[in-house]
Amino acid sequence: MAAASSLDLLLQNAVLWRGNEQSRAATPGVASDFAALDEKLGGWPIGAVVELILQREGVGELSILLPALARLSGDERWIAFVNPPYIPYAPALAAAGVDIAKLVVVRAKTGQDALWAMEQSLRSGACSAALCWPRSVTEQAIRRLQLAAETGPALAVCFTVCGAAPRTSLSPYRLRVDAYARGTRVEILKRRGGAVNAPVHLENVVALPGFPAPVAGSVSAGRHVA
Amino acid sequence: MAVSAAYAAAPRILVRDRDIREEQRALEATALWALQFTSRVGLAPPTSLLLEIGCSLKLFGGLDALRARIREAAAQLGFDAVTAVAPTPRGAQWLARAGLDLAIEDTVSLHRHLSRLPLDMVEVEPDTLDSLDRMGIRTVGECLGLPRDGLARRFGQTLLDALDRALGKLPDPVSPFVPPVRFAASLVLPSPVTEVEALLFAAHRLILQMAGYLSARNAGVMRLKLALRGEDRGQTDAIVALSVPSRDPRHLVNLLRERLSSIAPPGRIESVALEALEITQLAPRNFSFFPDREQSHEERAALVEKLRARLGEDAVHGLSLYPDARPELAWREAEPGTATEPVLRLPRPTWLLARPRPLATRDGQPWLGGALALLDGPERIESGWWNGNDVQRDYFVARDACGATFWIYRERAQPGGWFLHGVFA
Repeated sequence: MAAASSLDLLLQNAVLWRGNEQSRAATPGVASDFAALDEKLGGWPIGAVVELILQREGVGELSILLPALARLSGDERWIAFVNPPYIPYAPALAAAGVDIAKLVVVRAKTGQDALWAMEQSLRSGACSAALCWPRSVTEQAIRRLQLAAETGPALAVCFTVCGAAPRTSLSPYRLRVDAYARGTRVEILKRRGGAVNAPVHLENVVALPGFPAPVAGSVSAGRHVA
Repeated sequence: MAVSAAYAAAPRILVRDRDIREEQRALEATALWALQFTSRVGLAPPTSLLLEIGCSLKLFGGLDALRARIREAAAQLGFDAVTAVAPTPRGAQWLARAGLDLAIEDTVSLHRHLSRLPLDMVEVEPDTLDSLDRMGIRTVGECLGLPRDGLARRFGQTLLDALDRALGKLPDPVSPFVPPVRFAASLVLPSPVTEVEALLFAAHRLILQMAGYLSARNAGVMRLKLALRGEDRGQTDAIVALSVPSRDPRHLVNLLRERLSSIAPPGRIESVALEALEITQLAPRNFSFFPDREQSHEERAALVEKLRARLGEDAVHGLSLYPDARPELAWREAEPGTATEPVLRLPRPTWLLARPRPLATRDGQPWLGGALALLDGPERIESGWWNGNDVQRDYFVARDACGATFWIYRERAQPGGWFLHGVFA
């Protein structure tokens, strides 16, 4: 009893730094519109590199970002896609509410040029978001991107396929994305304010025929079949 | 000094032949550059330029500021300039040639300063100079002390006229330098180079000349070409295209740097030539109510230019929608920023494969590293029969055992088969 009350007392002290709270306040974020994810991340962070490590392609890795990109595309600035693995399909992106006039697709021939283009996009201040799909990425490259993301500032996402990501990384956010039976599973390996133990399960992330397109501003954890 | 005497004093010097044509070219190029300070520039060969600056003083913040700026800009161009200011063009020219960095604003002190100059500043026949020298007359002042009619009788009117023009007693019109319609300038490098930074150093000088030329025309460049000529007579062109006209040397050098680092120069470069392929009048700056918005527009254009300069023109594009039922034709590449009307809100995969990939089948069912479950479909798409590019497909949304989602179709035309066309990422 005495122990509990001293803990209460401690928690009331403003000097006490609590990782979970702090993480949400420290980095400004743009709402992902997935309540479970927003609760853990405080939205997609602006001005910090987010590494999305994919177990495989087609698990909703882009779709979990689309509501945020839709919101950011309301801004004047560009959204850059650097070396996407396939054609970013304009009809699908438009259907998700993204203003495709803001999209800039960059195709660099070498990995070095791709990282350069990503860095320039982030640093220029001309992009609200920049996403890149490098074939492989080093710790040093992530550090450069992190510095550029802070300057922008922009939402910076680096997609790597599992195995191509560096073992350790200076990016403050590392998430592993995979599919599960009903949708997309996101494991938060690293975030500002400490790790999260349990993975986040997002249902029906991918906009399928017959399912309504995501509506920016909704707070549901995922979309359900009506 | 004789070449042999020079070698005796400094055995390691490098002797080059004087190239009068190259000097004239350099003077004209510098005249182009000088047009940014005044619209009235005159050539005074071999090494002087005359700038009428009376009308420019206010714009550049006074005489001292203007001279400082001209000296600084000339140094960037690689010249050690002497700037002499005088009420008459000839007076200024003589002072500059004598190496006097002076600003004289009234005719009385002009008379005093010119009097001290040696006579070889005056443009007269060498014979005249010799005769005067024998008479013990070595300065302008001593010459001015002689009786005028005697001077005219012995040496003709030329000498007297030159002195009168310098002192402002006779009008001395300067024929204005007329800039060419197109800007092109070249530079022979002191020694062949291979490094990009060394090339940029040379290109920077040419860009400064171009900036002067453009500023005189209130114009900006839209497309420029830097030709690199190698020792083996090979030539490589670096072309930079801008989306907003500019004459900012720093911006242009940055764009050239990106462009040059992406092309392989043909060995050692001996000379560089800059050409403005397309120039546009600059709009007078609008004083916007939304300065941030305008700045952001410039930042966005600058980013696209920078990426294109290094990666190539085709490496950067935007997206637009196109009303065509065939999935591969329902989008187009567009200039970034192109707005299109949303056509249909049909659910579609976020990724489209550039070419549909044939899928294996097991027992007639599509197979992609495992059996695929068909979640939705078929969505029949039939179109394009009128132009031979016809499509007859039944599309399905399929999911594999691990939960990845794909967009696949069954070809209805012979020989049929299943294809992967998109990924729901």
